[in-house]
Amino acid sequence: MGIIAAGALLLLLSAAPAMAATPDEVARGKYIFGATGGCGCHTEPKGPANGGGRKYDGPFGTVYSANITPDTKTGIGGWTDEQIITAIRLGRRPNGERIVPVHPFTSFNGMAEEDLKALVAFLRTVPPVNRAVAPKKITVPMFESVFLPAWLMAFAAKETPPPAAPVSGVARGEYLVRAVGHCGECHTPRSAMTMALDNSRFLAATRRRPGPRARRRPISLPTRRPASATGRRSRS
Amino acid sequence: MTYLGTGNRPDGDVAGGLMEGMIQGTLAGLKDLTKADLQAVARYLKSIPAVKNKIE
Repeated sequence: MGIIAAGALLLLLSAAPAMAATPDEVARGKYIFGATGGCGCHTEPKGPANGGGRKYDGPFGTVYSANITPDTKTGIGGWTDEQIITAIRLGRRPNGERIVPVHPFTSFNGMAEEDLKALVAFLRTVPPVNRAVAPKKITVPMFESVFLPAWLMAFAAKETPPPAAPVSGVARGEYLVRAVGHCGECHTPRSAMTMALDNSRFLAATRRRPGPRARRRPISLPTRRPASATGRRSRS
Repeated sequence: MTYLGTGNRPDGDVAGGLMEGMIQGTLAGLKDLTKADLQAVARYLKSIPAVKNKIE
């Protein structure tokens, strides 16, 4: 009797569909999504959330951020959780193609697995947007075949992700700044020669905005104080 | 903490450009961080070495 019951239970378990994310996991994912700055590079100003297409010019050419909505044709809806996590933290698409490190996978490399899983669970809840993104235009010869792999070998951070995200104190702050918030990508100077981060000057400010064009509008938060009388905006 | 939570700087100015986008976020942003996490970020930032690096 006991054996039959155990067998029936096993059969039930194996037939059950993949575990759906719990509301708690989705909420945690949304929080992590916010802690990255809302994955804002993947949303064009006034464009659909996570729909991609934001343009980034670099010394190698032009790339456009990916559609990270669950659309199966133009987004990441057809990818497995593991494939999405690999793209986020290792910069590798399911077809093996390397993602240009404008996507800060060298920082996300240090994110804890549980946070990445929660983030993916949240991304799957965002409305799908059918929106193909323009293909990248690489202008440097042999960039993807030679230079990018060499750069990644030399400079990509090889962080060991913490087994669990730190929950409090300075360790929590470091995790949020270095990994999730990827603050160093803009706030740490880069070598003019190699474009690698100069971590001897970690978070010591940079001259130019390396990211997308500014939106130049005030933040509409209830607690916001009026801007200074001159209307000047800070650069960062 | 106030800056990352609201975009308001101690000098009365507000965040602009990219940082404004990070704070505001899209479906969520830095403004949604808990007070405890903002505190942790502030404590970490104060713990790293100071670097003199004048911009412009």
